[in-house]
Amino acid sequence: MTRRTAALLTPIEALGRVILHALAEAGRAALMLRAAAGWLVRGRWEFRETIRQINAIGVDSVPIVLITGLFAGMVLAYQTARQLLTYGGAGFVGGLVGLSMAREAAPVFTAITAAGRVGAGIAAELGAMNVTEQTDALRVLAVDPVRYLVVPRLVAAAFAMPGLAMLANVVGSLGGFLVATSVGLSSSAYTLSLQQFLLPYDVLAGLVKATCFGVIIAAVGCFRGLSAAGGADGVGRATTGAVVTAVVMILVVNYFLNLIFF
Amino acid sequence: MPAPALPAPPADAPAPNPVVVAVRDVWKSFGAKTALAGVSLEVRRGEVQVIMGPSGCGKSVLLKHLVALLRPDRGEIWVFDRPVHALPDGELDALRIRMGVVFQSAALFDSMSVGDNVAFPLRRHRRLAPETVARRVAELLAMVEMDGTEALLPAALSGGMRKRVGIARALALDPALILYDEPTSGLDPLTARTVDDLILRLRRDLGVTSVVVTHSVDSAFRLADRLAVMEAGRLLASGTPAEIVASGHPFIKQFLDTRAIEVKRT
Repeated sequence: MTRRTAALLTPIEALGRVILHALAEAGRAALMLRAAAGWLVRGRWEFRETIRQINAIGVDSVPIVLITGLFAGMVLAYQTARQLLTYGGAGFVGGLVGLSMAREAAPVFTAITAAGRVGAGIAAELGAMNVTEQTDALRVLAVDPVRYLVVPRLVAAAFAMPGLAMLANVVGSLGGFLVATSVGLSSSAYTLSLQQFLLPYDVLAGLVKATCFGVIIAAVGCFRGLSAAGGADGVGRATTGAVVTAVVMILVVNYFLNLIFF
Repeated sequence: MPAPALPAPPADAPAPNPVVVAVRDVWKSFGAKTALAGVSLEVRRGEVQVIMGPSGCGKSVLLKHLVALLRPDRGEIWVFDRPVHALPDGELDALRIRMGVVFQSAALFDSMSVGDNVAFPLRRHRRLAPETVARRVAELLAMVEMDGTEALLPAALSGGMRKRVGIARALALDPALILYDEPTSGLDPLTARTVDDLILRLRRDLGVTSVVVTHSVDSAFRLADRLAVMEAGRLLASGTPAEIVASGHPFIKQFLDTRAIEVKRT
């Protein structure tokens, strides 16, 4: 082999290794999801654990979602009201805020917030269990970790996320109302515009998006957590990886869901 | 180097107990590193089989193969006459219920109390009334001298206490075979001694077959009916402790001498 060929092979080999690693990870994630789907189809749910996770993922996330939703609605209203009032478009403000919240801001902001709080939490908890042999202990006690740990978190996130997104919708529109009326818009103009432009389909599509994002957050968190190895350092890498991967996937999937729904 | 042949038993010796665990020519590699290189071993009912060797020699890897936490690249593992190396998950779970495993780190579930940890296998695999479960948990904790600790969280326990709770959890389903992974690792000599005594008492009182993986020469000789010595993924020798001492293998001699060195320094 010539020196030039060898120099070319090194980056190609490195690229090949990266691609093989990514494919292997995707394959393992697909196997985990297939196993989870199998338990779901057979109706073998861990009911108590699922309720506990709905509480941890949904109820405990309410305060942070209220804050992010409120301020998202407020900033949307501030920007649109100031511009549209200048051009006499007061009748569009409520509709624009409501539509933006329902279609994009509520599901996406809620999902990104949840990726940081819930996805990181799942990866850290399962990662710590993995490196301290607790998942092995489950296996030797004849309990499948996918059934006991993954399925409840997937189901809980799928149920909790649309609820959280709906909450963000409500407080976002309320925040928008407060800001719009404080910069000179009448309250009736805001609510009329909201009623005129915001259709139930928009809200529903936003909630379906939130459900998809919930599944992504829980699936990525579980997969990273169950793949963690090498002590505290491995748990840290799993947690960071879970947040980064989930946020990137949410934004990419959001684009394609927009193409489908709107 | 193959394990040295042992002398034939005398003609009037009683028939040996049936084989509970049979490991046949098992090979396992992780990338370029060979963890097990053709290991073969038999464990008979009621025996305490100790697998001894330095850290990283593959003894914990071998133990994980017995419960199919790892699968061999080549070779066979039979437990209770079932081929662990080839069993599908459903059948594997039925076999795992007949075994108890005590992990090196105890592997107690952090989010559950001591009582819930010990009750976990009972709630999953036995249809028992809550008061029956509570009574059985109290019995198991008393057996490992941890009475009255049901409400404590694992984080509040010392290393020795965690190991004992781990043993109680492993005993919950009345296993016929218990696997101990470094049961005295990280414990002070006195606590290690109490854990060793507990293992011997459980064997005497319950008659369970035990496989103990350890790097402690003291524990190995205190516990073993039969002793296997591993080095670099290979089984160097297997036999009674007296046969191992007499084997004359240079590595075994060197490994056993570490105990003499420790004694001399103290």
